[in-house]
Amino acid sequence: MPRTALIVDDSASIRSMVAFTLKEAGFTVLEGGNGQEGLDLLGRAKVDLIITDLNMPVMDGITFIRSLRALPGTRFTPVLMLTTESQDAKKKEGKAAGATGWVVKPFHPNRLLEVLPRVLP
Amino acid sequence: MSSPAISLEDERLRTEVAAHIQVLPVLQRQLQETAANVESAVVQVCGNFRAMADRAHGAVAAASSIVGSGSAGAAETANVERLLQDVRAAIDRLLQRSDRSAQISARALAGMEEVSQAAGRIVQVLSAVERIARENRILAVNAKIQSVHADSAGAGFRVVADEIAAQAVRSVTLTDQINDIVAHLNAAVSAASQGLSELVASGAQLSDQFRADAEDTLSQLREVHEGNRRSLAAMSAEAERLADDISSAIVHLQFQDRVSQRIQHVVEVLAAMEAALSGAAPSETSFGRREEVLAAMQERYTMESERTALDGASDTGSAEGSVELF
Repeated sequence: MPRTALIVDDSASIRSMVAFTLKEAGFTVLEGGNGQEGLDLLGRAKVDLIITDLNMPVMDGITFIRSLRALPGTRFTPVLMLTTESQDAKKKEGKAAGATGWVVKPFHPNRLLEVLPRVLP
Repeated sequence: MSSPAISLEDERLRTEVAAHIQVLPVLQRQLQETAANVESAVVQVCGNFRAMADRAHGAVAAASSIVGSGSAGAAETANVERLLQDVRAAIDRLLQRSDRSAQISARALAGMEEVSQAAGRIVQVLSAVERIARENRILAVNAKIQSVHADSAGAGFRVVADEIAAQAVRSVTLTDQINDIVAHLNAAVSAASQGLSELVASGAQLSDQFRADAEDTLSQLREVHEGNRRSLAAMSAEAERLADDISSAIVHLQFQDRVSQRIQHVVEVLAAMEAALSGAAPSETSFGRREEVLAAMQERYTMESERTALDGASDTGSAEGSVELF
C-alpha cells in the first residue's frame, strides 16, 4: 500500500517539485498552501510523512507543527521542515515545536529521498 | 536670505516625492506579477517533468513486461534458458530416434544382402541339379539303346529307361521354375535394398540439416533475447539518467523560490516606503511632474502586461504567443 505525504508550502512551484520527488518514490501526495490548510487536510486523511515550509501566510510552519503535535493522529508522524532559513535559532525553534528534521532549500531530490528511511517508521 | 532658497528646494523635493510615490504601487504590482509568472512557468515545467518521467517509466515497464527486469528479468532469462534447453532436448530425442531408424534400416539392408547371397548359392545348387538331370537323360538314352540290343529280355529295362528320362525332364522343368522364382526374388530384394539405401542416405542428410537448422534457430533466439535484455538495460540506464537530469533541474529551478521571497521582501519595503511617504500629498504644481514620471515609465515598457500593471488592471496575457501577419 503506497504511503501518503503531506506537503505544506505557500510556493506552488516548491510543492510541485517536492510532489514530483515523492511520487517518484511511490508516495501519494497531498498539498496545502499554508499551515491551516495542512491542518484541514490532516483532519480528512491519515498521512505517513509531513514536509512543511517555515514562513507562510495565514499559519506559519512552527505554529503548524505545534498544532499537529497536539493531535493524537499526528503526535509521532515524521515532520521535515523545508525552508530557505538556516539560522540555528530557527532550527532550535523548529526542534522545540516538534520537527523531526530540517532541510534547507534548494533541496536535491535524491538527498531528500535518502533522508526518508531514517525518519519513517 | 537663505529661507526662500530652502523653501524652494523643499517644494521641489515635495513635488518629486509626490510624483514618484504613485510609482511605488505600480512597482509592487510589476514585481508580484513577475514573481507569479515565473512561479507559474516553473510549475508548468514540473508538470512537464512528470509527463517525461511517466513516459520513461511506461517505456521501461513495457519493455520489462516482454523481457523482464531486475530479479524478474533474471527469472525471465532463466525461463528462456530452460525453454531453449527443453527445445534442444526435444530435438536431440527426435534425432536419436532418427539415428535408431537409420541403424534398423542398415541392419535390414545387411539382411537383404544375406538373402541375395543365399539366392546366389541356391542358383549354384540348381545348376548342379540341372547338370545331374541332363546326365540322367543321357543315361536314360543309353539305357534305352542297351535295352533294344537285349531285345525281348530288355523290355522291362526299356520301361525303366523311359521313366528315368521322364524324371530327368521334370527335374529340368522344376529347376527352371525355381530359377525363375530366385530371379524374381533377387530382383525384388535388389530393388528394396536400393530404395532402403537411398532412404538411409537421405535420412542421414536430412538429420544433419535439421540439426544444423535447429542449432542456428536456437542460437538466433538466444541472441534476440540477449539483444532485448541489452536494449532494456540501456533503456533503464537512460531513464535513470533522465531522472538524474530532472533532479538536477529541480535543484536549479528552486532559484525561483528564493527570487520570489526576495521580491516579496522588496515589495514589502516598497509598501512601507509608500506608507511613509504618503504624507507628501501632491500639490497642484506637482501634477505636471507626475504626468512626466508616468510617461517616462510607460516609455520604457515593452509588454502589454507592464502597461496593464501601470494602469492597475490585472494582466490578461491575451497577447502572449499570438501571431499577426501584415
